[in-house]
Amino acid sequence: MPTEKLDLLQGTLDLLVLQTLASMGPMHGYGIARRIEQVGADALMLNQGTIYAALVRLQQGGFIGAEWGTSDNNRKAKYYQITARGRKRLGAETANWQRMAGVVQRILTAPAGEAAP
Amino acid sequence: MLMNPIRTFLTRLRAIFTKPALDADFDAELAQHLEAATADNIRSGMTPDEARRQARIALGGVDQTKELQRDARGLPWLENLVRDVRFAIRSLIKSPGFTTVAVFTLALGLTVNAVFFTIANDLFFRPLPAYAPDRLVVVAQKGPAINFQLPFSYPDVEDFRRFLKADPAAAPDLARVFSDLMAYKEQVVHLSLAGKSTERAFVHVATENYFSLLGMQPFLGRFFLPTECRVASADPIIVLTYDAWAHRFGANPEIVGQTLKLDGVPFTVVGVAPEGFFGAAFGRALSGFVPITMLPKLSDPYDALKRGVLCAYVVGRLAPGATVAQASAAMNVAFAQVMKANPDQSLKDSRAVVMLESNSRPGPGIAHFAPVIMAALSVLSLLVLVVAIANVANLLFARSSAREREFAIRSAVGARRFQLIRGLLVESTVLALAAGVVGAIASVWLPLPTPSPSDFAPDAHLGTDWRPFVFTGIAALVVGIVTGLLPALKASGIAPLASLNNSGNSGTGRRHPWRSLLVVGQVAVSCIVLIGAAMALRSFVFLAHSPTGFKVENRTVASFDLGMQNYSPEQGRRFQAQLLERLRALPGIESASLTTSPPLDAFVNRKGGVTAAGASKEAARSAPTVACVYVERECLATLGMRVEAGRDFTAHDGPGAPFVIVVNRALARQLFPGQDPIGHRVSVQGNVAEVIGVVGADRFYSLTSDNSPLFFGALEQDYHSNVSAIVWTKESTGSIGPDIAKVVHDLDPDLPIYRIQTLAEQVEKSPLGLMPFRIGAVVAGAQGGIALLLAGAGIFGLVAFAVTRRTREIGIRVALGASRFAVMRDVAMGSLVLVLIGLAVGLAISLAASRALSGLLAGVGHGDGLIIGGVASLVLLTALAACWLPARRAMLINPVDALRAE
Repeated sequence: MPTEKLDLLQGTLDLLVLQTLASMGPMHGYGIARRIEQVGADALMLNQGTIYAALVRLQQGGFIGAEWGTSDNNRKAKYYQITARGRKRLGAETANWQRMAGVVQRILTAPAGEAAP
Repeated sequence: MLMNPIRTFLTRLRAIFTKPALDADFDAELAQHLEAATADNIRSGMTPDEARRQARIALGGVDQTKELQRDARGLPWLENLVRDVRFAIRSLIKSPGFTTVAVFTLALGLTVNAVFFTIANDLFFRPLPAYAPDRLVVVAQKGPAINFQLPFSYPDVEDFRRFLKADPAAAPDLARVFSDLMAYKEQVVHLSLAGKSTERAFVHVATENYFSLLGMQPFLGRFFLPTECRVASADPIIVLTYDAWAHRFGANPEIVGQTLKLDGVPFTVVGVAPEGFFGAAFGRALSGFVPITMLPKLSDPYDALKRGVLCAYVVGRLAPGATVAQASAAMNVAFAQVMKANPDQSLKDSRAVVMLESNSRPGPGIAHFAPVIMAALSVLSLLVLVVAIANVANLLFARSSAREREFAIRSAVGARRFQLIRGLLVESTVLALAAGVVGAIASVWLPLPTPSPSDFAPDAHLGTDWRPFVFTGIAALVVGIVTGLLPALKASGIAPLASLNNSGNSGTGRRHPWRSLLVVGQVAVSCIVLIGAAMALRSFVFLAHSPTGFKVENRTVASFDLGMQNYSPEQGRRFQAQLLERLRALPGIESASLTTSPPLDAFVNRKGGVTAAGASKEAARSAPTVACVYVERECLATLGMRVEAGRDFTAHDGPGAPFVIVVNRALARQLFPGQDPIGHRVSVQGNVAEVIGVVGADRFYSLTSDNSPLFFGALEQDYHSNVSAIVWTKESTGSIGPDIAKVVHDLDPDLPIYRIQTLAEQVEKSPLGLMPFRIGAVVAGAQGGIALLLAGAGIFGLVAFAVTRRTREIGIRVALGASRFAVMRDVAMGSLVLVLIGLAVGLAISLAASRALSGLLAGVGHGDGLIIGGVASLVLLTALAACWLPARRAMLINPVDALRAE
């Protein structure tokens, strides 16, 4: 495990938020931030505040919806949930990301001396 | 992630306007976040204080988060802009004096340009109300001997259309470049509806495809049928314009099928054209459209359907993909065929000129002058704007110098240079936009002098379209940015520490190279504009005072056309004789007479083929056209024209006697160079007449040219139905017009009279008289005056600013015993040097430019000493006056006050 935390790639935060909402159901902002930190085993450098910019972007795109509700400890909190449009988007972006990761992986692991295809 | 950009933009725009609600919402969300995070932290064993602290650290700062979220949800640039605009408006309101002067100055410059663009828009840009007007071309012809672009004769038009449709072998390319060709002639008619008085009106007589080529559909009834307009006099039908239908015929829905009379001949109304359509000639107010083949039924003294009678302009629709150049080439091949087949009825070396419809305004005959004149005026307009910009830039320099400490503080607390520049640019743009609003309003409301001769169709009331407003808006934006750029760059470059340490009114005052350069430029540009204006004014004055050969004092004109009332020549002669008898019996009359053309008539009759008797056919063909005016025998005397040699017409030159003419000097020089023309015989298109006299009427029908050949014939020998009465009274002619009208209407109550005006008005209003020069002089004079005013204000501002900055220095010097005069000289001298440099630059440029301009103007030589001297002294005097006031203030500074003011 690297000692330094990883910077989040531009644009990937939106993807992570969508994935979190898709797998966990409606959540509030703090919950999403914690979830990403936990799953990422605290290896990601995440300013929790940046979650909110991502949430606004996703809302404007119609990928998530938001609603004030009541939290577990009976407090008012704003809950976000993924829309059908968001799920479609998530599928496309995930596939895209995996293809990209695969390509990067192949290039990084290509044995020396082998001719490029 | 990609999102729908428009949807996102709209959401974000909405976010700006619901900002307080969204902010409150997010505050609540953040509070909940922090609370939850703190609770988690406490659970994991932190003290409450540490838990809160760590929650904030994990968040990355409350304010930063809010800002990030706000930027993501709204449009940060727009919000910043709105904030800058509000700040600029507040700060401008705080200095009303500066704001008023700056807005007023820019408004002067923008108004001049907005008005100019409104004119140019009507001339070049507004589309003709027709289908695909950018594919319409107008065809005229131009020979080397004549300055105007002339129409074609109707048989020429028929030939072109035959080549196009039936005989492609003659001119093979014509069908490739034109999808159709039509022709029209503007015709004045006497229009009457049963039970109503007769009115003078203008129609287009046209070929049957006039409307189909323009792509129009009728509002009521129908247009011409393909079978109509083929046989002479066969189709007495008229299509009314919407305006004529609405205003003359009370918007009668039953109008189709009714009969009205044109020149006394019954015509059936078959249709009404749609609203806003005014025919193929842009901006002319017509009453209707009639088949061109009906010309013989209308008053048609020149037999307009005959070969060689140039009457009809051709309009073509370009085939898809065809260019104007190709159309011109094809048209010239066709025209060459026509001229070859009819050598005797063609102008020598004439060529077809094909121009886009938008380049054929204000009329095909004079359209080729429009770009030259407009280019000259546009340069002057832009220069006025440049002076205004320089002026306001100068004011902004002064203002930003006074605000140095404000900028220093703002940059010390973290404003970036870019933000300061943006703020200043927004300020100058707000100023310019306010000025643009003033300019746009003024351009709509300012009355423009337009020539309104009664022998053309009057201008249609077009109003204005969106283009001048867009132009003014864009111009204001550009002006705002250009004006503010230099001052903003300069002001934003201030080092905060140096400026804050400095106590405002610095002792010595820094040098301001930009401002000095602006003053030099301003003076130079004003100088150029003033010289342009002075040249226009001088040529106006020159023309107004140049000898015309006729006198205008106490003379009144009134015109009427008996032919359109169907008078036979005998009836007409009787009417004219009775009229003269009654006019001469009016009290206070010196004399009264008749002429076919009053001086400077825009439609003076011109004839080709005027030569010395016995000249060859070839010589007759190449002879330039000559104006011919037929006058009653007292006319030359009534107009105060002196017969320089030979004799005037007499009672003996009647119908039975040999034909006689009086020539002007220009024609005498042309026909009989170096000889005495008296007694020589002249052939006028085959008819021989004897020259009995010479008059000096060299500017009779065009003020600008003193070499316009002209002859007077005897009206008694050659009857004309369209004449003007000239009445010379003993006293001033203010009130004789109604008396003349009464005399005419006593003889024929139904005869429309037009052009009742004094001869002086005729000279001023005629497009061939002073009108164009008057417009030019007014426009250029206004531009020059504004430029001078602005330059004066600029110099005043510079000196006044220098005095303000140097108050303490001056105070010290005066306290140490410097003479007040020396102080004043010192303050003024720097500025006067700049003025002199500007003057030298301006004079040098305008000397070069006046060479180009002098061709357009009359009576102004290149490098006119009076103009240069006059303008130079005017600029110098203005500069002196502008320096004097603030310099005087410097002189009167009380040293004690000045030093205490710190």
